[in-house]
Amino acid sequence: MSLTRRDFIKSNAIAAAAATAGVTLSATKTALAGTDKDGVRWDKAACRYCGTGCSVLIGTKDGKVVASQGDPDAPVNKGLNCIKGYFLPKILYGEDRLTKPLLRKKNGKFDKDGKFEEISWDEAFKIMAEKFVAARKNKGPKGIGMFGSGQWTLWEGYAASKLMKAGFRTNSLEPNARHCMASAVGAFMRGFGIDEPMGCYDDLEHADVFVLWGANMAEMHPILWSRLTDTRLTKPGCEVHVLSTFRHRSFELSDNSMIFHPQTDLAILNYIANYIIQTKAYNKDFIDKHVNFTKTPTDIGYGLRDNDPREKKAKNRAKGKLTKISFEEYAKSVAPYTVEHASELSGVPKDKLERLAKAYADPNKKVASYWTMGFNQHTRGVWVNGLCYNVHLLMGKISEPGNSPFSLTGQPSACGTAREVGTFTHRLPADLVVKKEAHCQFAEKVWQLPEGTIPRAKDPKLGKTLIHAVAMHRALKDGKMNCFWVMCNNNMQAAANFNDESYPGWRRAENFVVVSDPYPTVSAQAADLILPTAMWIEKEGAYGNAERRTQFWRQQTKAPGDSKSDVWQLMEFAKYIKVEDVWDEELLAKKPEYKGKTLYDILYANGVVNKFPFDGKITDDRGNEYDNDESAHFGFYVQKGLFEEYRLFNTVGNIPKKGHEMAEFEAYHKARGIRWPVINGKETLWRFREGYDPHVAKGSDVQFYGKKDGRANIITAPYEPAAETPDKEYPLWLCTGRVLEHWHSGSMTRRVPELYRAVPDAVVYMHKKDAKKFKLRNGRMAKISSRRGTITCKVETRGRNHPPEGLIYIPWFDAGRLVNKLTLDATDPLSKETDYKKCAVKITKA
Amino acid sequence: MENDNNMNICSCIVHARPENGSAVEAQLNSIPGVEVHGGVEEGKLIVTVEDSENSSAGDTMMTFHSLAGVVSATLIYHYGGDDLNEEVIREFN
Repeated sequence: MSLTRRDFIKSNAIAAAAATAGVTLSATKTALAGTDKDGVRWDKAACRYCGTGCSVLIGTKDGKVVASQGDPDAPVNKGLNCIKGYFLPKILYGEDRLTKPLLRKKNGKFDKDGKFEEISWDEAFKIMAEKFVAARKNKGPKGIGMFGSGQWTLWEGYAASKLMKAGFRTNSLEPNARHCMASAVGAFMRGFGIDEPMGCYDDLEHADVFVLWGANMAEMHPILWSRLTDTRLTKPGCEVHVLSTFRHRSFELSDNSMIFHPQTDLAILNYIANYIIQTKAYNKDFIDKHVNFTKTPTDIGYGLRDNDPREKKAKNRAKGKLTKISFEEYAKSVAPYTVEHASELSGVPKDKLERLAKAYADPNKKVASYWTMGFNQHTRGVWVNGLCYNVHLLMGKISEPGNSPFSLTGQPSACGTAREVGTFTHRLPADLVVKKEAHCQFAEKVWQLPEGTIPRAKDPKLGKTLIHAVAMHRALKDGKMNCFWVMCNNNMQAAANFNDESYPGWRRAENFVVVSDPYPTVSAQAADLILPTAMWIEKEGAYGNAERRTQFWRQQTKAPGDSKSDVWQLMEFAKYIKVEDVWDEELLAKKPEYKGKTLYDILYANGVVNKFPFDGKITDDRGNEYDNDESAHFGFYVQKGLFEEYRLFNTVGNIPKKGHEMAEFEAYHKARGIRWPVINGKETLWRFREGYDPHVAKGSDVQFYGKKDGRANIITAPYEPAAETPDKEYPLWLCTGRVLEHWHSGSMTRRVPELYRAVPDAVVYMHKKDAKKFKLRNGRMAKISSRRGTITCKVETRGRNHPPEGLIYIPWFDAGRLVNKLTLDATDPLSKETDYKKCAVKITKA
Repeated sequence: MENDNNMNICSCIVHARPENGSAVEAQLNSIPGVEVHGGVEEGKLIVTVEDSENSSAGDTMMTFHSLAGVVSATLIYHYGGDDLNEEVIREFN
């Protein structure tokens, strides 16, 4: 009998699975594991997809990825990997990878109506520089814009923030995380004065009760779901409550299933608060010591254009200033939300609502609440996030193992890059904000810039400078913004209201749109200049996940052709911009030594970013060697320099805000991620609680130190209807979202043959009675229309999602069926995040 | 990664409620290229998936989520490279 290498690999595969599951197998199954050296170099990397932040081991041989494994040493996924993880290496090898810059040209010159032709990087940056400088001069700071990503690595976001805010002196920088996390951020800042969850994934093992608010973790966060499943199946008394506007896979494990009418989550949460108060279950000691009661202005509109009748009608448009109230006033504000009223509004039977309320109100049960886009993509997103914190705060069920209101993220570095680095229009690194003069001055000092370089929110010379994502597309359409650089996302497909706002804006004659992407996405095809991009493990990277865990990886392979990473593109482009072209004389006079320099010199060759030498290769602890193409090009350790400068925002003297401390660069290459705040080399699992968080003063038990008085805000807010509700002409709710097989707009996963074959096209999930009512049949095509557009989809009445009558669900990954032709660009007036979950449509036979 | 000389071997953990373990095992074992190695009683089935004549390992795994009784399916290990069936690394007598 002979033994082949195949047997050996299989034995390894079985051993890895058994070890991860904690299952003992007979020794013959795994006898060969680990007995052979096979010439494969193994190293860790954070997964490229969602916000969970799984670590995968990547096996590389001869410059190509040949194997991958869930990382058994990773605390997040403990050796597990979701089905998409199997295909991770394949996202690098799609057939239509872009390898050359492409510019629309006619007769050898740029032409908005021309065809894409290959050009050099030099030509690409020259025309970009010409267009960006002209737009900045003619239209001011809002004349140019950049739209980045929660998939950017930390240093890419940091380099971009510097280039825009300090270099071009514009706050027109937004990440696609505006579409996904802004409401969560708004609620953290209002409630706790500091961003990101207080708990961590360890709560998945500590909780007794899990409540899913809209989140379909089974498909969108499969690894966290398998941890939750393990707890549910092994812990006596553990229960799972699932709320959603339609039935989905997570209901398989549910002990209390609730389908509610869209927008009525507001009412259900207020009912739970009312139940807790009526039954006197609240934790009086906790609220006396650690909570303030407040109210927020109501009737605030829907973030639509000024001339929209819904905006004209709103009494307190976009207002959010909190007013202190008493506990009694708070109790009175939620008193109308009886179980009868909540049940009537939401359509959820009373006994189910009561069972849910009892779980929260039981002092002996630890409760973890999870939510994602259902709360965030909501015209009252900041409110509804806050209402969930209200319930946890009333009970004191927060900031300790198992008691955890937890905002899940959809992107791998929505937390790390978009939020912590601060790539929003109103933010600066480490939770600092443009609106605070002291924060701007601090950033200018760290960046060695003259005072007044960063445009103030209401700048004495530049005017109002903040502009959010949705407003950027409107500004492009109106011709107020003329240059737009989109990196590491697919916003033409992702943004709402494709027909009326996004597409006309990008294609407007005088506008110049640049898209950096590895693939020819819908966005790339709608651009004027396409820049081919190195992705994921083709560069050294770092992501920050939803539980405040920062994770690094090394470059594993080379990017194809001339494609370059985003950080290379940002820094190299800066060499093409002379400071005189974008700074006025008065500012430059404050720092005359900057005269004649490029933005590259000022921002990146500043003695801090270029401080660490690079000797041609990166070597790990085991002696393995890796490329680092950016450092080889610029001549210094680019990623380390950018990270260490970013870290100054947490470590230099007199920092304006504590609580975001990071470890030194090298520590992350050794660890499977570290959760901030990192104090004396130790990570923090639960914030704000003594014994877990070193920032909490001794003897204070709990301290919400993001707020000056150390107290969190309970913020009362009522139920208010959605921006657009079904009527006679458009009788159905439309909800959009994801599926397990595809990640976001599908620009990576649709290029993996197996994933494409498994779920090739978006379908419209609907109730069979609705199908009958509208004369449709399962498997046949239907035409779906809203007031804004029409798309065609196959009808699915028996699939994995089961909407109730009156609602349809369409995933948004499919570039061939752009569901955002239908959606309305209504936003939460406070967070400016779009509500993709609710608009009115009709459906007919195609 | 789809050429003919490539082969794929994966291992997965398939979660089921323990009482459904053997029903899920039977379904999995009936799929070409799929083998259950243990963990049935615990509801954590240790499964390997290999390419079969009609379906790549990846395509096969994509079907697990739709099997009755499966709560979740997670990947643990994947090899995707040259076909190594010919390469003998040890002889037994």
